Amino acid sequence: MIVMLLVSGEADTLCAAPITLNTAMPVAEGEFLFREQFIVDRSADTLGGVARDRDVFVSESLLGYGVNRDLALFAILPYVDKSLDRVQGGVRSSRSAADIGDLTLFARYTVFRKDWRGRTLRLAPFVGVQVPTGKDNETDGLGRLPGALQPGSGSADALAGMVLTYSTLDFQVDAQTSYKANTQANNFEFGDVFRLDASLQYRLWPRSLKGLRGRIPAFVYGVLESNFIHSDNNAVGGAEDPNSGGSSWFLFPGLQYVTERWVVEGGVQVPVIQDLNGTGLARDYIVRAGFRFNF
Amino acid sequence: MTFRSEWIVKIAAVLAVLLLGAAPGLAQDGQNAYKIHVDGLSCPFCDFGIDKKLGEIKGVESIDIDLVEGAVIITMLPGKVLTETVARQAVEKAGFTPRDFQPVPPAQQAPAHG
Repeated sequence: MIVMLLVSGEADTLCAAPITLNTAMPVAEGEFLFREQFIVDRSADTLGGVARDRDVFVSESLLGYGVNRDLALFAILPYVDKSLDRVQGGVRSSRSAADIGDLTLFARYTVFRKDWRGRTLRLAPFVGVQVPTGKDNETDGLGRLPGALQPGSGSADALAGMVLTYSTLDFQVDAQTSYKANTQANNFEFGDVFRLDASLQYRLWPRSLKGLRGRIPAFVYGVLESNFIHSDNNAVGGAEDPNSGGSSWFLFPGLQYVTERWVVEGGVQVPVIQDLNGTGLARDYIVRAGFRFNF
Repeated sequence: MTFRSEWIVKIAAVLAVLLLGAAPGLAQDGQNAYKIHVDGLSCPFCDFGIDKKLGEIKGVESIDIDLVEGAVIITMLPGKVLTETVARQAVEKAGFTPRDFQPVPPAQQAPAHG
């Protein structure tokens, strides 16, 4: 019997910027924003004589569009590759699936904006849905894969949140709260997810803007982000899975190279605290790297 | 042409040259430039929205953004003018706040570039 794992069943974050959360910075009317983020999510442990090894690779594509100065629409489509290896008594079993995942659509609207020379403060709520575009009935020699290993959830889920951004020429701070309400499909339901995220992007280069005039071709930012994630227990056949859900806190140090047209960024998300229910498999680390450009 | 009408023509020509030279933002080659201060610009990635919306205005030849000063200089094609209303609307559509708008006198205009 496969031990149920804490596996993110969706595109783990709603990423418009900074790296692991949204921002309230504007998307100009008629402007498009494209972002690709590659995520490597590793977990491994040995529990009760069973060695468990979980790898999740995600290539997450995001497209944003500015409807007007306040309203922006976003679509996120991931390609997910999940695998779980177990070794018990010298016998290895491997289960995996790889395919397009669920599509997330959300709208962000700026409800408060205050601009000064070289800085801005904005508040933007967002709402959206995750649509079950990913396969949710993959099978292998052992039968149907557990819900947590399927590329898609099979369910339509709702999400909402709010992001606050304060940006200056020297640094930017983003803070976000969000909630995702998951529904049931195929007798399986992921637990609802509550998140508190924050990001600090601090300009490392150029060190000083004194004396600089005209267009500045690029900034380099050092990034430090914090992600608190609480997941309710998953449910199988209506019964709570005691080996799922829990709370985690991650820190994400990273770097960004920001120009007028494109951004390259990356970092490593490391767990600080993982308080998981039952035999939930804790994450070792999550590597994120990607790029974005506007047009 | 009578003596009187000849002098009227000469005086009119001199006045025209003086007016053209004194007209704010009008260079000798007929190129207008304007400066608008924009609040909210805080990083290079923000510049694209400003470039895009101002660049969509008919007659714009080039756009220069000074991120530190928070100023945008719009240089028009020869003979084209930019109204304050149009400039402000473009900045607002980019998602930022326009402040003061003023023509740039010819002596202060940098060579136009793309």
